[in-house]
Amino acid sequence: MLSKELTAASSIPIILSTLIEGESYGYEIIKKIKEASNGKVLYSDGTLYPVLRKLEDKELIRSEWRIAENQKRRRYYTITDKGITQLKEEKLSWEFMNGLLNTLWAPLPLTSV
Amino acid sequence: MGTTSAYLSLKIAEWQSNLIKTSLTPDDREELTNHLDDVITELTELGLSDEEVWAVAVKRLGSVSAIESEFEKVNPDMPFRKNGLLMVYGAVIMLFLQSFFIIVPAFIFRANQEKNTDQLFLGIRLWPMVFNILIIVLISIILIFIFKGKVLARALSKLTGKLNILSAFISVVVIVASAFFTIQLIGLSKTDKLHSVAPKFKMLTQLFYLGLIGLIGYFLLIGNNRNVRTLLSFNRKLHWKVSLLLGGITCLAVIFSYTYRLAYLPLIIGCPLFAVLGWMVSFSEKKGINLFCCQLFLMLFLFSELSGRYSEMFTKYYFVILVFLLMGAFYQKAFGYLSRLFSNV
Repeated sequence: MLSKELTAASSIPIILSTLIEGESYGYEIIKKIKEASNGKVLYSDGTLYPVLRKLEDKELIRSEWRIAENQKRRRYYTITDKGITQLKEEKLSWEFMNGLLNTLWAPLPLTSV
Repeated sequence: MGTTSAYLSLKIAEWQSNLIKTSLTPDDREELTNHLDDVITELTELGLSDEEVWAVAVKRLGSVSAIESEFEKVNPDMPFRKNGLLMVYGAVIMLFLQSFFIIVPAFIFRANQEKNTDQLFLGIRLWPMVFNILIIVLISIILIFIFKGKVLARALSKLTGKLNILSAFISVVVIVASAFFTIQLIGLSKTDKLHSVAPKFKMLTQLFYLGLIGLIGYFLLIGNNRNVRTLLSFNRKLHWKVSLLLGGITCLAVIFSYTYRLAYLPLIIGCPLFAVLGWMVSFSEKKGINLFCCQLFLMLFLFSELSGRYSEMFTKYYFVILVFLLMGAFYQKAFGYLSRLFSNV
């Protein structure tokens, strides 16, 4: 299981990434993250929404209420151009961190976890 | 949730009532409830019992206090919004009651006295009777408050939840009417022989009442019944009713500004304000309808010939302001076009 700190720090790029292929809604976003991480990244579902609000305030995503196929109102989120740019920057940062850590911890044996 | 059992429906209702007490907006609560519904549907399809479904679903969503503490970080001003709305309604109700019981009767009485010395109604002197009736009505209202205070308080507390367009319109009308009668009743211009204080007094009163209208506009902007988090997101969600209200308030500012003896003041005030309105509307979905609604009051003011002998001048003002409104509306497109043009060069 991943630490809470790492999950929180990576929440913005993870949520933005789930929207690259098209619009989605809260429940589906959580489901995508769970499936992609094989259940290792677990958010408390309710705390996803304040993060979505923050992203919308920063105009990285946009939301719209529509009637879903179950005839209920549902809020759909779409990534904005600004969001895509931000995600590209995040990707570079995370790749850099990944490379850095790979270099630094190369001598560490992995069997002792 | 047509297939939800009675047990789960009860639990969902309990959970929702706990959410109402938090700093979540109605939109936040609806979205979370939809999420809970989806989780419950998923778990029910797995064949779990109702109790198990509920226990797992609530665990997955997180406790109400955990959800609230996260939402408080993004909705920190929620208590302020609710108290602020109550304050605005309090001010408007106070102005209405004051106008109804004191200012308007006194104003009509004074206007009447200037024409007639005494008036009779069915053989009784009119004005003492009018004031006696008002005293009786006021005592009745006070008694209703004493004996039915709880019911009234409950009805009033429902107002705190939202400020909708209709109540905003009513509030603006009450403020404008109250302002008009108060200023007329005081009639400072009659006593100010040198005409040095009256213009300042007028400016003071207009700023005061326009400020109050501005306060209503502000609470409408951040009103918790709409998901308005930033100015841009507000602009995107502009619809005809809000455009009508914003246009109406701006039109009031233009009309008020004409009462000052300063050349072109309606244009100096109106042009930038309508340009900003045009810019705001340019983000919305139905730009055409919103633009039309923005300028509707100004247009009606013009065509109804309320401006009287100044109508010809206001016609010119109207078209100049209209140009600024359109400039604001096309600013974004023009700016984008020019920046593309220069980047290509």
